[in-house]
Amino acid sequence: MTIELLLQQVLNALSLGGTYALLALGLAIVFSMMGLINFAHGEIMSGAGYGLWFVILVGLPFGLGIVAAVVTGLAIAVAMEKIAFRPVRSASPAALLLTSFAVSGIMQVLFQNLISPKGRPVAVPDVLTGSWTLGTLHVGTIQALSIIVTLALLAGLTVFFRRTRMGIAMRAAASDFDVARLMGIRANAVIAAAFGVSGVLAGAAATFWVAQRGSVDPLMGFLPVLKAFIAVIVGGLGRLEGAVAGGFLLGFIEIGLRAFLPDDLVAYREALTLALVILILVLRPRGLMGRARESVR
Amino acid sequence: MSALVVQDLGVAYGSVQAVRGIDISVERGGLVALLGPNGAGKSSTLRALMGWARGASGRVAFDGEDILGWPPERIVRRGMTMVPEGRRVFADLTVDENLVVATVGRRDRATIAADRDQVFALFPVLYERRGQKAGSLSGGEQQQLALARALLSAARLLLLDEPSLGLAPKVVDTIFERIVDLKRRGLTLLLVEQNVDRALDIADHAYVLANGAIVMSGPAAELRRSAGLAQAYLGLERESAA
Amino acid sequence: MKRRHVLGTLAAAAALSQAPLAQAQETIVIGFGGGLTGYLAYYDGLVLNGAQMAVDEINAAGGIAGKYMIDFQVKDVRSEAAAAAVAGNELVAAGAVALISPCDADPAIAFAQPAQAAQIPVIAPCASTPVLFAAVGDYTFQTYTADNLQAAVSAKYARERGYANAYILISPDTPYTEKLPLYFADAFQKMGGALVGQGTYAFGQQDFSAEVTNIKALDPQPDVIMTSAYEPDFPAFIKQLRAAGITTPVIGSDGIDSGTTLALGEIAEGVVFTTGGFPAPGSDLEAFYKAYVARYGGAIETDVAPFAAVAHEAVMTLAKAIEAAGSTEGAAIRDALAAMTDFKGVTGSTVALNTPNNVALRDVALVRVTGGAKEHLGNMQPAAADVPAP
Repeated sequence: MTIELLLQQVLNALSLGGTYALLALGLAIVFSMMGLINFAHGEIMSGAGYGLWFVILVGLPFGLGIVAAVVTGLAIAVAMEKIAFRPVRSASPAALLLTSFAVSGIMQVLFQNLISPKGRPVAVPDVLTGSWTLGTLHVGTIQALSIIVTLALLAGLTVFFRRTRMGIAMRAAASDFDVARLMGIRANAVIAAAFGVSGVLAGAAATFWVAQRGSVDPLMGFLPVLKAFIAVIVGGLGRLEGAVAGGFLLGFIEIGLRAFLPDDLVAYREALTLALVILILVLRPRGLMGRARESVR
Repeated sequence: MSALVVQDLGVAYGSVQAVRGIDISVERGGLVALLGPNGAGKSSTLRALMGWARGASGRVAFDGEDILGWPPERIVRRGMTMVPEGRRVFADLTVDENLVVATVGRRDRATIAADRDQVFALFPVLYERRGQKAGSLSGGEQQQLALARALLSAARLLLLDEPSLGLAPKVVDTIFERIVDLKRRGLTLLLVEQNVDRALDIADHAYVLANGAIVMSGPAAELRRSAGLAQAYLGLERESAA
Repeated sequence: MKRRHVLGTLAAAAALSQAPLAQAQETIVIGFGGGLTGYLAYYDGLVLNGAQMAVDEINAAGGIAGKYMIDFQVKDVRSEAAAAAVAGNELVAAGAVALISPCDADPAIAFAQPAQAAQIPVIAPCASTPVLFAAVGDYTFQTYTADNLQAAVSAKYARERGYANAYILISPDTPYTEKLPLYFADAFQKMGGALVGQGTYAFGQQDFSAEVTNIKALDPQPDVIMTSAYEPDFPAFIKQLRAAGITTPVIGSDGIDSGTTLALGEIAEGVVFTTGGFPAPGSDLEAFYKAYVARYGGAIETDVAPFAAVAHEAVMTLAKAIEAAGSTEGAAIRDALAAMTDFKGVTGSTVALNTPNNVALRDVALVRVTGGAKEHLGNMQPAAADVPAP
């Protein structure tokens, strides 16, 4: 394997890991506030994809489609919190989890019945389907953009979380929700904001996902969010940096196995990925950056 | 005039009645101690006042307004907050960030900077450590940060849950000095404490709680002088342990 | 889509209740199990509609041989093997004389097993992996263009184009995505070609960067890449392949015979794939597609596929077999099906079921994406000897 190929695979891992990181961060923000792993996060992503699809269907430019995807992700996430999760917020974690499964199932059926059970094609402009050449490296435009935008979003979020009152308040709520309320932080506002941020991130991830696959279908969000869930666990539940690290790590593990495993072992790489994840959790039971979660309950 | 009036407060966890209809009143600017052995219902009382405990009944009036059943953030924004047991500082946030969080509920943004300077004057060690993660502070420093946080949230009434717990005696001295400072600055305080002597030293008035009911109350000076207190207290402790 | 199914079923029920009962002496049950919800919804929706059209035509004409009116009973198997097994049992218990199975191999096997036990024939009009005979038994028939049939045609095409080295991309997630490229490699090598590499992907993996990078590193480079990946994997794969500057021709299979492939634009240009049929102007299949969209709405290009036509044929094949058998007894229908050599239905292809595994020998259409549209390269029926053994 040459240096060029190695670099190419590193870029591949950054791009894939970045998408996982965006989704994992969304899951982790919500989890850290309310102890809920939102399995309907994938449907936020699918919904954002349909937002993109619709804008292109009515003949508007792709750029507006990206805006639509992010806005749709935001709107679905905030509405989901208000309609489905707020009424059961103080219920047990198991009840919250079941609620999220129910929301996920309902939304999938809605997409199937109101739009189509079959994937809807999304035409991606030719500008985005080409590649950039850096020396001997070929980087797909979408891949390059996904790395750049992911890093920009993470940088932007870092500033938001470090420099703004709302961002610092959200980190406080993520680390100790009950005490954050003692600081006057409104539970409804901060949880809605958490869902909002997770929706925006899901919308951004959906854009890359759809641009890469060329279609939207009702079950589109399931697999990436399952991966993001694994990333959150690996990174350490409740740690936002952990989720990002976990997402990138998973990207590197997946690409690494696919690139370097001998042909006859490639079929087992999903199993090997999970085996590595389990190994990490055996060595660090709370994940890469995990710690115990405190609660008044 | 009373800042806080508690009437017939009950707290039940499922079928367990932790607090059984108690009455407490805290004068504006006063420092009232709530004493009693472990499991007497002191912390449950504070949690109920702050909206942290479900299953609370009775009436809680803060500045004349019935706040029982309000969410904590609404109570805080009205001017009453709690320093929870075990400090509960935001360990991942810096000292500065912990203090920023404390001001989120305030509307008077203009005065925050001045208040922050005053808080640093009161707790100089926090100024030294302002860029450090709160989780890296010592227990006493964390307790000071917890007090500073409550102070910066512009509360007029402060509930303190076991502020001396787990701290070295010398550090406890500092914390109690700070609490007295807070009282001097005009804050109203309700203090839950295991350290009876210390608490009675600084309190105006005290209630003794056992098995969820008030068994004694009176001006702190009288309670301290009363030969019955220690006996009653110890007796109660034995009784509740039995 | 779903709503349309429901309306279609209601309309059919209404039509049935008004049908002239004067000469029909008997009503027989033909059962249908399909994944009307879940991942098979698109495919089984097409199958249901096509089969329903055939049932309605037969009933409107007075029943099979003027004798048997069809009571078409539909069960949703939710794209799951477990639900398919339940539906199979229920339809057998309802007295069905024959069944139409769901699309994918796993639910089709689960669905067909109770029927095999009860000696009731099952036709799979859409499951393309030739496994039912071995997995279930001799009462199953597969009428769609089977995977090995498609692979024989695409391998022949590749060799005729002069491609010497091939790379295949497979997914062990379903028999279709795993076996078809392997059949291709088998046939391609028998015809003198060489296999220079093989990649593996997981369903919905989305990211093919590692596989694409591996292809770039191959020496010798492949002349052709063959895969049976379909949505969303195929579009993602070819986009990333082309974005990496690899211009090697790509051959696919009927899974990519859809609007999404055309919507890929420039990237899909030149992709060749095998499929169950092509609605060439003036063909029988075009006429059927027109009737289909007239009834269910949509457009010929995007909303109908060969599955619907093969499903229509499946019901017609059954009717023919019942007529030939002169009986609705399972063994008699089975024997009549197994004796069919040149049935011709709405696809326009002859269908022979007298094959070793009850898998139809029939035409495979070869299609190329040219200028954003499907170009028909022709229909081919491979020589039986060229078809890799299942």
